[in-house]
Amino acid sequence: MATSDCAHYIELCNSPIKFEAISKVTNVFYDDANQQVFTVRSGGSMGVVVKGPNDKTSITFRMEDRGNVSSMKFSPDRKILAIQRSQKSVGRSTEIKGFVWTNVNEISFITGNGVEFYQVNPEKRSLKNLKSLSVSVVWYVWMSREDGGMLLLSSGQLANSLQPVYFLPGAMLKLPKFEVDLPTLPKQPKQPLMERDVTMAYIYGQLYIIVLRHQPRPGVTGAEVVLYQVPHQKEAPAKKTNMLRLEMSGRFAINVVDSLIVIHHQASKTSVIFDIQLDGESDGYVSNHYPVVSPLPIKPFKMYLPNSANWIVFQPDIRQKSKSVILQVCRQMLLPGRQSSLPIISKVMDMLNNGYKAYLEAEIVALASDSANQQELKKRVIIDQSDMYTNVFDEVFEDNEHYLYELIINILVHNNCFYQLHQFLQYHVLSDSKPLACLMLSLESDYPPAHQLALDMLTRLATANEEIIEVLLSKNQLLPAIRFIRKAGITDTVSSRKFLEAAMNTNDGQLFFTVFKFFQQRNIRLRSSHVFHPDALMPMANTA
Amino acid sequence: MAAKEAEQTEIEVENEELQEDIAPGDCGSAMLIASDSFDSLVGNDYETELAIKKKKSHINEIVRQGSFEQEDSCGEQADVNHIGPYGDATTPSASEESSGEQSDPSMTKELSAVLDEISKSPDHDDDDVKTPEWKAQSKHVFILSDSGKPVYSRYGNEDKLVTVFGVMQALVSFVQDSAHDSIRSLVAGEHRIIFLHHENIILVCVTRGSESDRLIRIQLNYLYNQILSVLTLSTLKKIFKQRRNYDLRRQLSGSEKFLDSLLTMMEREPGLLLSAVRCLPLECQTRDMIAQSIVQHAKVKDLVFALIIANSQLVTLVRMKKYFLHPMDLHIIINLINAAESFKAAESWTPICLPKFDSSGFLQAHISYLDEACQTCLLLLTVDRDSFFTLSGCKTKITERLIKYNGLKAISDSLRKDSYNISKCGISDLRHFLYKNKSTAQYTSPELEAPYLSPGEQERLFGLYHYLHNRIHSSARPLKILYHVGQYEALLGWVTQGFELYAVFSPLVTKSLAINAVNKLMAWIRKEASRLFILESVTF
Repeated sequence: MATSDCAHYIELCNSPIKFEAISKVTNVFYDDANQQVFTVRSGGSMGVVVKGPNDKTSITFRMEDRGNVSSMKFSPDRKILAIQRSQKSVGRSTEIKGFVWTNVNEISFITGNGVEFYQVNPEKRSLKNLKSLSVSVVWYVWMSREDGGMLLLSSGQLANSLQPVYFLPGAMLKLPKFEVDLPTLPKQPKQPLMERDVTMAYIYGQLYIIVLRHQPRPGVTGAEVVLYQVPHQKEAPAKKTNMLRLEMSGRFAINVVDSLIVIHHQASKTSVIFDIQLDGESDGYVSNHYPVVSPLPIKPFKMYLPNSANWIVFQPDIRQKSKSVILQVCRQMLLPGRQSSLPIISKVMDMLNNGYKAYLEAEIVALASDSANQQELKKRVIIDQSDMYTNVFDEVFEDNEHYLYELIINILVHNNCFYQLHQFLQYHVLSDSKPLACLMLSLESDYPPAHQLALDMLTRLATANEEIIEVLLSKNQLLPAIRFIRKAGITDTVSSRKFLEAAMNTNDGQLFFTVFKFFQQRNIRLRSSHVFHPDALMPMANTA
Repeated sequence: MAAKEAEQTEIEVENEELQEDIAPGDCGSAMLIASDSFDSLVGNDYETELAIKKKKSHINEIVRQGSFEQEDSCGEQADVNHIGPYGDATTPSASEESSGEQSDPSMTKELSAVLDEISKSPDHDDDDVKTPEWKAQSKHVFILSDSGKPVYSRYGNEDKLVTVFGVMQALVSFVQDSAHDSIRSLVAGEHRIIFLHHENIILVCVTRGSESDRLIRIQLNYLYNQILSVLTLSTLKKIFKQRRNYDLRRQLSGSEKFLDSLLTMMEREPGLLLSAVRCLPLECQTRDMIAQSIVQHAKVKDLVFALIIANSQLVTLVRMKKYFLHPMDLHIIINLINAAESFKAAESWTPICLPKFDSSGFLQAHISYLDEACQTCLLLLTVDRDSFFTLSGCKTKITERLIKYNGLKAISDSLRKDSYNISKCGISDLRHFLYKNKSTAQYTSPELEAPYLSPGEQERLFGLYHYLHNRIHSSARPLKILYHVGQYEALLGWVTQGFELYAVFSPLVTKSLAINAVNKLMAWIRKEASRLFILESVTF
């Protein structure tokens, strides 16, 4: 998505899926759910070429030509191919609008009168009706998820009454119906809601229904995009929450990438980006948003496109390099000479931190729950400190250190801001790690309390017993070291020689006596004899 | 002291886990006057106490009783005030006494004073008090008369310190002039100056040590009692009544070493701190036999106390019914025999005033060692000035009997090193302890072992005991239990109505371990009580 010359926000993938153009003998279908393009030659007898975004999903096969094909889709496990040949081919009285694979071995047919939900038995080659839903359907939109999907049915004269239906393995749940308000223009009949103007997408973990409204309301110029949030609780109907002001009119296409809404304008050949998490003007119910950045075209893509005027946009599941974009933006913001103002920088940093915080909180919740949520989390783009350090600060500050924390500490030490450093550590602004603790130890000569801070940090890490003992012994803190091993329950495993040597080096008879007696008692407990193992005392004899 | 840098926890629990029981070592009849630590401490109280006591002088009482019984005896009232003070130089030896030639003590004293003056080289005098050594002493003690005349200085020659004494006298009298105040202490840099003012005598201690003011005042009081034991209070008063600016050194010359040794004893002997006497551990049958030997062979009229002391520890005490010995007096007696080497040479006969018993007069002490190693000392205290030979005969019989029944051997066995070491208690982490039974004013304590073998370490250990004792007996906030973790050891002090216990542990001990150990220690003391303490009070 990012480009080096910054003239574009968006580029197309440089390995497009090429397929034959539609002709008298060739039919092309696109399965949104599996992201597969089907090219059917001569009803299949000349071969069916299936192409997906990668080689795995590309298949070629032949089938008997049994006449017209109006749609074909693989089941999610790509074992069964469903083909619709006519609008009534299943032998129903009502018109079949289409079908979707709602799950592995589960298929739903959408007819003018409702939805029929079937279970497919591959062995018996039979269908079993699980559930039916009776509702008049003008058109439908499907969005698949890992464990099912969301079907949006439109009904009513103006097709603006929307019925979301939620599919889970073996279940079909009807969510509350809601109406999309259509703009009323004087002396003009209301235009019905079109299928192509409705999209579904997950934005910041929430399901939204995105409606493109071409005709502006009175007093508003240009088209708008209205977002309806589908609540998690199924009792509440979808609610209008956000309004995106395009301030342009004409033909549009909508993509959602990394929770950003990208709207392509065909006439100007530009795209604009919206972020609903940015503050918008709110009237208490709906917040109005304007494009985040000024419109820029899609990066020119050198490819002969014969039917470029004829573009159909499906909702792809696009993974993009949003992370590098953010990092590049941050880098630009900080570049000396070209840097942004401090309030902007702080706002951006806050935003990144909030995103990271939300991610961490969600992660904690997800760890406690099922794996599906964890999968969802992995898709999120977050910027953590090592990203920030290696991609932004490292370049700006030309420093070879590896951690942002070190950078912060060094800057604080350099400026004698020990009090702030102390507070940062005490309130865990700088999170604990062994390297950080070692760094703190090295600062002791400049700031004596750093020693204790380092020890506290090592203790919190709970994996640094050896280090703690070494630090204490190096400071001749024999008794705290022994109290520590006792508390840590490792009295029986530590080397008595190490302790006795350290005690010997203090030249403190009282201290040596105490340490010696302590290990003598350990010997009695372990071996029923106060005599030391020869290895423990050999070097002692030389020094003594 | 370690306390400053020590991490410190203080618990005031109500016998949380410590099992308070009756105090081990209790007995029905005590022979010593039980007193709390810091008893009879304030100087002014002491005077009134003495005034009350004076009304019924024990010595006069005993003497009168005797004269009623034997009216045909000489009937000469012993005018105890006439007896000169003793000192090593002036102590009438047995032979002198027998020949009847009493040397004039005051003459001897003046002679020795002159000799002293002559022997001093003038150039040596000058730098005596200005030497760094003098200044470096951590604890100075000065004694002066009310009028500012030097009596005693622990270090240096008093004559060269006249100006210092003058300043001290000025300080005391200046404060005293204003509305019945009295100066108690001064802090000057790292030194503390503590004053104790008796009727005619001012005692001053200048210290850098950590002992509490209260403890130092006790020590000064001991020194005062030591002076009284040489002079008697009556003599002291009489002297100063006659001549306010009398140089008391004329009376005390030769007895400075008792003051010196008492000061040393205070730094080593916890008994003075605890106001209790340490008993030599002996099987109770053995102790009984020793006491009975004395009872049987020393049935002599006017014999008030008979006691055996071995290495500063009390072996037995036989007393006249009605009369008890105060631990303070016993410490004065122990100090007397510790300080005077001459007692080892021959049987001695010396007057001694026991201020707590009767500060107005002298008792006559027959002092002799029963064994060749001069470890076991027999003291026979009487009011009869002429019973030296009678008592000498008693001594011989007592010795014979003690040899016959292995009494002396039992004593020397008990004195042997390692006979009372801490491992006997079988409590790990416990390094040393002091246990005092309050009702009998006796305490027990094991010998000092590693890591307290060097004098420096012993001094430090006693510093810890002083600290613990002072914290527990703090007048502002008395404690029942104190647990203190210091740099080198953990301390636990526990005081109840019946006993005081101060224990020293390895610094690695935990509070619960220490409490557990103390409970075990109490059980051990209970089991050993008949051996560790004198439970039978024997009378003639």
